[in-house]
Order: sequence, then structure tokens, then C-alpha cells
Amino acid sequence: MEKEILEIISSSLGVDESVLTMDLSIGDIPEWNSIGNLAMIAALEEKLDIEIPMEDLFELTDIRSIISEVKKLKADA
Amino acid sequence: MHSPLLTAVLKSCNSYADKTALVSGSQSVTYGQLKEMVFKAASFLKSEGLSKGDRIALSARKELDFVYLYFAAHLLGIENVVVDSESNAKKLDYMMGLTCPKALFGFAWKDVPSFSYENLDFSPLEASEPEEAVDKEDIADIIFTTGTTGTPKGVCLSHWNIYSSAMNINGFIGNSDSDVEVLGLPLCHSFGLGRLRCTLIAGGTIVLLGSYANIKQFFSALETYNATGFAMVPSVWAYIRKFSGTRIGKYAPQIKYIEIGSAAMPLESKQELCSLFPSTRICMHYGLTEASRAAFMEFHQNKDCLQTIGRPVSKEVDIKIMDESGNPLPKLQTGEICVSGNMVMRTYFRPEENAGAFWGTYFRTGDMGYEGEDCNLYLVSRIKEIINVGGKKVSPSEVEDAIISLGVEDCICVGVADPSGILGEVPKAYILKGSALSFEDIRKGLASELENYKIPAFFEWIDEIPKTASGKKQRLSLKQS
Repeated sequence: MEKEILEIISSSLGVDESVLTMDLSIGDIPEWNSIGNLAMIAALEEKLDIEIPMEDLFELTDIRSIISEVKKLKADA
Repeated sequence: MHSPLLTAVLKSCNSYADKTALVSGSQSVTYGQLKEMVFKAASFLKSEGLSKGDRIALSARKELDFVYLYFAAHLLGIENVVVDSESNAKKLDYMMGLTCPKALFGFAWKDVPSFSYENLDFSPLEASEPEEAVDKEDIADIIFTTGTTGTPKGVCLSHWNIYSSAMNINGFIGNSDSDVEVLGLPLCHSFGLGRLRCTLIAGGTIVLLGSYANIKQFFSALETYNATGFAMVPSVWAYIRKFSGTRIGKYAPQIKYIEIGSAAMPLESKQELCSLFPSTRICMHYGLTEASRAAFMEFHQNKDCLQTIGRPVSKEVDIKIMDESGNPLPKLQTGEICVSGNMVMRTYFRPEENAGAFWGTYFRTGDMGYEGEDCNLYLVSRIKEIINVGGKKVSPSEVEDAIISLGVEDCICVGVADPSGILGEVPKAYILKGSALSFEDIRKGLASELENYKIPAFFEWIDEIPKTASGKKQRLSLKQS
């Protein structure tokens, strides 16, 4: 699951998976700007068939929190 | 004599020496320190053999050293070429090849001496006030805009232009020394850089975030610094809404002003801002790099005509609606919006680009509009074909050239509404039928040619590329369909 999430993130941001450390936050790399963030959320929702609630989006500021959120949503599904 | 802007900034430095001027990340500097560091940066530039009339290129980022160098160059009469750190190699080649800067900061290009902000250390240098005489009509900044043809145009702004613009804006918004602004806009564009100048000449504090991508961080900065204002473009508002709903409303009591850059903003968004910020001055400007913040309107004052772009920002600025021959048109007649005033650029870097750019002293914006019975200006359409992706400008021909370079016979690119409603527009490419490449091939091929936001979000086959008799692509015909 984690590998799949990282693949989607790396492909939507257009960066190599090796840069996606757990602590990497929005804005730490130029590719993860607001446009990249939108593309990434849209790709995660579309490819994993989930819908991230708005109140959770606010908290998704690093790779760790994103993985944890997606896992939670998939488990709840 | 210093430039008018630096005279004003140094006045703030002397009046508010112990007050915080700038914050970036964990770094914070007072006005007293700002003055010292700007003088030291000037010493550094001189020690590198740079002097009045020379040109340097600065990658505009939220680093404090960028701010010091930017102002230090103004003190010495050195022209700043302000560069977007995300510019692609082709654009960078063009800008650097044209302007020939003697030193680069924050990026490297060919064998021009370059310095990274991380390695600069001005602290051991002398902090004496430069004595260079700077004429207010000398060029202060050169900022490149996206041209429809794909070739960026260098906008030459004088010291008087950038100072006047800041005074015009502060006069309208009402900025003062009690302001604390959180700035997430990029400093490489006229809007963000303008906010930096406005805040510092008013004696306020500016917190440089660099981006609004992390909304949680933005809200945290509003709280930590008890911010009184911020600036955004409409796509930032859509982004804030998507990632945080209306919770920004809880900061309304402390927010005195919001400056919004002109781009299409739905009426409902404007009404929502009015209700979320009932006592905030919500000021939306209309302008271009060539004629920064030419007009302003305030949401509450114009609550019955929220779709106006307002009126000239100050009495120093005049806006006329003109016909195709440069004759002023009466009220209610649609024509080209033309701007004259103290902040309007005198020339593009390449003088031949001035052809057709002015009617006398009036800069031709390329936008169509009219003056209403209420004396307010209304924008009808933008006749230029630039695609505005969340505030980032994309030249359709740059995208087309990149697609054709992959082996496609021909294509045409236009801006279409972003289905998510956040970015405003996204690029769409129509590919001439018969291409051996699939849309996916093209998309993959473009990844190494263009920045992400320039890659078309949509592709469609087309039987024939619409062109005029002279062979010019008719992009607007597709955009309107």
C-alpha cells in the first residue's frame, strides 16, 4: 500500500521516489508547490478511489501524514 | 542622492530601528539590521567590481540575502534583472543572453560569475552608506513577462516607477507602520515584490512565506505574528477554500486588509469574502507588470458592483478606453484599456517591442473594457492569448513549439476553465489528426521540455488548425467555442 501511494505521489509531482522522505513537507521541494499539491491530491483520490475530507486535507502537510490518511481511508472503505 | 524607494526604506530603517522589518523562516531582522545588511550587501557588490550602470540577475526567493542585494543594487544604481527561480533553461538562456548581467545570485548560467544565497556572508563587510547618485529615471528593475509569442518581454521599471507604484498602493489600501503582512506570493512577480516594497516603506513588518502551498503553515504565521494583512490571487483563495473551508474567517478581526490580484474571480467568492471579512479592506487591483496596479476597487465599498475593476489607483494615474486608432471612447463603449501614470514603464528592454505598445503616454494593456455610467471600469475580455494557470502565465506558442518539437506536425493551444475551479485556467492542446504520437506520448515527452503547469491538462484531436489568411493561429476561436 505504502509503495503504491509513494508511486502516485512521485508521478504526480514529477519527482523521483528517492526524494520522498517521511518528513518531506509541502514547499520543501519546488515541485511540491500548490499546483503540485492539487495534482497529487487529485491523483490519490482518483487512482485509489477515495475522497479525502476537507477537514483532513488541512492536516496533510507531509508524506507521513498523507500515507497515514490514505491508509485510514482505505481501511474504512 | 538615493533612489526615492531607498530614501523611503532608509527612512523606515531610521524611524523604526528596533522594530522587526522582515521574517523568513526562523530568521528575523529589525529595521536597524536591515539597513546594516543592505549597506554590507552594497559593499559586497562593490568588492566584486560592480558599479552604477551594471546589471545583476537575482533569482527572487524568500531568502533575506535576496532582499539585501535587491535594495543594495538600487543604492548603487545597479540594474536588477529579477528572475523566477523556476524558469526553464530556454527562458533563462533568452533572458540572460539578452540582458548580459555581470553577476548572478541564486542560480548559475554559463560562465557568468554566480553566487548561491546559502554561501553568501555579508557580515564581515563594511556597513557604510553608499554615496552613489542615482537618478530617479534610471532603470531599477527588469522583470520579464510572458509574451503571447512565447518570447518573454523585459519590462524596464525606473526607480520612480517602483516607488510611485508603492505609494499609489499604500495610498489606496491604507497601509501603515502598524501592519504585519504574511506574504506567500512569489517575489519574482510584480505583485509579490510590490508587497515587499509597500510594507517596508510604510514601516510595517513582512513575513516571507514563499508560497501558500501549506495552508496550515500560512494560518500558523497569521497567528504567530498577529498579522494584519495578506495578499493573494483568486486561485490562492480557491486553494485556501479547498484545503481549509471557511476557517480563515476566525482571523477576520485582526486582518485589516487583503490585496487581491486581478484575474477572474467568481462573484460568489467575492461575496463570501465580504461576509467572512466584514470589516477588512478587501482591495482588488487591475494591472500588469508594465502598469502595476493601475486600478483598484474595494469589495465593501463596491458591494453593488463587485465585478468592476474599479478606478485609477490615484490621481497620478489615468485610464482611458480607446478605439483601434487610439481615440478615447465615451462611457459604455467597449475598447482597449490604456493606462498612463507614474508607475507605467517607459520602455521594454528591446526598444523594437515598444512598437504598438503605447498610444502616446498611454500603455496599451491588450485588455478590452468599458467605463460604466457609475464611472467604474469594467473588464470585458483579455484580447491577449496568455493562459493564466493559477496566476502563472503560460504562452500558448511556447507549449505548441514544445509539442511540435516532439514530432507532431501541428497543434494549437488555448486556456480552458480548470474543472476543479481552483486554477482558473489550464492549458488544452488540439493536436492535428494524423500524428504518430498518442496523447500519453506527448504528455510524457513534454515532462522534460516544460514546467509541470505548462503541460496541457487536456488533449483533443483536430482536423484542421484554425488560421488566418496570413497563417496566424486563431486561438481565440477555439477558446470561445
